[in-house]
Amino acid sequence: MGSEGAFKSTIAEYLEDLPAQFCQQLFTKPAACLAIFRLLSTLGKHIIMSMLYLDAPIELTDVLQWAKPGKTKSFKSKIHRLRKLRILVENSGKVSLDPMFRQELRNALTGGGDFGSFGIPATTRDLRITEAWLEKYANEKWEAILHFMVGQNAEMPQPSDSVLHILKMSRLMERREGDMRITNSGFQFLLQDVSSQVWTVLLQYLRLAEDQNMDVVEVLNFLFQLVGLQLGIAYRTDRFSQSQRKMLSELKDFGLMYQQGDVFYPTQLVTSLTSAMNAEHTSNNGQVSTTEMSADGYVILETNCRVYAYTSSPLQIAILNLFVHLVSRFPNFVTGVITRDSIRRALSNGITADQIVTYMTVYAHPHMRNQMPVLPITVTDQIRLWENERNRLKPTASYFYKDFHQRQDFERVYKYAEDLGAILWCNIEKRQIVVTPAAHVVIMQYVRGHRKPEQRG
Amino acid sequence: MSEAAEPEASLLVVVLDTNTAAWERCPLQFDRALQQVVIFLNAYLALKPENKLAVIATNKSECRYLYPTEFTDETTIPEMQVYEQFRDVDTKVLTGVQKMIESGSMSSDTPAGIEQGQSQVSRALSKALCYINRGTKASVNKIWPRILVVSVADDAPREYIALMNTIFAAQKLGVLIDVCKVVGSDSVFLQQAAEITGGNYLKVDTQENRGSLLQSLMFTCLADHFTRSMLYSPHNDLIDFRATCFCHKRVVDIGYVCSVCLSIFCKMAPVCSTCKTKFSFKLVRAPSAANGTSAGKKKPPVN
Repeated sequence: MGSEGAFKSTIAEYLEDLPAQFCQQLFTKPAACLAIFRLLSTLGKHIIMSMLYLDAPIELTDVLQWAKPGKTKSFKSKIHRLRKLRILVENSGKVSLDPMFRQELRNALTGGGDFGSFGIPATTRDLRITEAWLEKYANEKWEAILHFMVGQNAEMPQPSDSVLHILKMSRLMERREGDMRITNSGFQFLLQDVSSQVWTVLLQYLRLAEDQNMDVVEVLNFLFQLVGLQLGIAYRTDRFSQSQRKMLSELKDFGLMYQQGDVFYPTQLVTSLTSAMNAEHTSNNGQVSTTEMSADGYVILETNCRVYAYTSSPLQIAILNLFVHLVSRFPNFVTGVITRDSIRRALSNGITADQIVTYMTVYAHPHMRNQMPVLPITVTDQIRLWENERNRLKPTASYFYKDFHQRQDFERVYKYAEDLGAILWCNIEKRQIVVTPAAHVVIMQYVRGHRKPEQRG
Repeated sequence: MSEAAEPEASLLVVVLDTNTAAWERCPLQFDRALQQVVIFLNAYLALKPENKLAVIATNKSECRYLYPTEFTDETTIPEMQVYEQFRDVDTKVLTGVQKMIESGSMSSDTPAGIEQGQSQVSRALSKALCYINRGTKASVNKIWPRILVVSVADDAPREYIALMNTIFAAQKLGVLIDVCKVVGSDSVFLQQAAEITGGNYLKVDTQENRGSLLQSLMFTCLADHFTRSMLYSPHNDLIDFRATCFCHKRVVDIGYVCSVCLSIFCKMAPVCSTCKTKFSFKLVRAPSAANGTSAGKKKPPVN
């Protein structure tokens, strides 16, 4: 699934690539520690929690003894990840938690530490702003952006400049013939669940901040603080620094929060970021666990490839239209057929078969979920076959050798290349070989090295 | 990735023993222990935002929910440095325990058969199972239930029947019961509870190290179903599976079992005190007149 490469970089990977001193600064905030902790895998969390109240370092071999036989491998990889994140420190065979991280995670659990690290709630609030209202507000904002991406913005106002800028920077959209057009990665973006979409945007925002020479640690700390806020509570902005206010006003355009004077209300887009979807597991394969199933499923897929979707949302219809040949539309419901052409159109837009299957599984109608697997196998297999059909040709950079004068020359090079495992194609009768670019340099040296004695002789 | 699917959320019900008489015998002070339990609760909530929690407190005369409760203290302004979800749990648990101790010291109506240093664990466990049953039915997604008993009080023999019934109910529901015994001797009943349901039994020696309650809780009782499948758990081979007789609440090696309701007695009785069955001695004695002992059949040793 090479085409998913654009989204492979998750927040966890981003953190791994941060320089050490940045991590240290990040760990000084309890909110950041808690948010990072929640992004880890279950086993990683367990390792941290087991060591959180140990004061002395313990032997790495002892830690590995916790695992049952056969599970040691995944245990080791988790420990390696924690070390890459600089949460775990190893010193001559003994491991311990990073002292700063340990201190601040303890603070997060016990309520010690800095004043206002989890936001400063406002004393007065607008009673009209309820959790339901915020949810509606955030969904409208977010869907407006997605609508804009699908190009159904006739009645919708255009998103703000900062939103457009981020969409363009992340190559989800590009400017073509004066218009903003959605790109291949944009199509993939649409098929992700909301929480991965928000992470994608936030990561892009981080990269943008780097380019603008903003303090990355401050941006990260601010983001993690937002993640730790509670839905439905008003928070004060008056203690925010200048740059934090700027970030607030930029992120506001995505519907991540609602601002009213010097008070803001985080929405579920940001408060649920560390839940449900584990950022470490974003788009790793087409498998969907039941927890990710959205509550408002609407798609019914039959074994004869017919699709019935109980929706009136133009956005959902537009997304379905990416890979379904829509036939008829009713006030609350659309029907369509999955055909070879409709799937091939989607594939040529860069959408993978797995993404299509995942999308339909996540948004499957509640009636569909009683069956196992959720989607009819005939259809999912067919979609994958249609994808394989397109992959019959694979372009690879290569070097083509031909016109060998002597049969021995050819055979020597052929044998050498074969030993390297570099032959992509060959025709022995015509004395032609195609090799990989990596091997080309080595083979050229080999050929030169052998030509000289021949010339002498 | 060969990894199994990410585990679903858990539902943890903590049964907290607040028997003041029993805590007085404990080298670890009750308020210190309570703080450590609260940190453990926070750590549990920190694991996954979807994790559900309930706390039930029990003492010798009553048992009640500490969290979740309807009661909210509107007057307190949220503290600024605490994660909102933690603060809610912490205040409710702490004020709940306080109220319970206050009301407990005033009223002295103890149910018959429960002594000063004993608590109504079976009542709390039944409540916990009811809560879990409701919680798992209401939840759309799969949720893994388990119970943690933080126990200080001694076993109350009067509770044996009720406790065994709750343990088997838990086993049937697939609920793990973890037990953390903080003070005193091992609890025979709770050891069985942990063993039968597949949970961990943990005796914390608070004398040696004051912080060890929290560390033990974090290490053994925090892991969810998914993590437990990958880790070794502390195992106890020496579990006393002997039954307690229904008539004198004594632990017996060999006893008499009612052939109708399977009640256990340490002495022969003409009538079963549980189901009122009259044992027909003639019928039994006729074939085995030679040894002429048993009223019912002998209880086979349980392992």
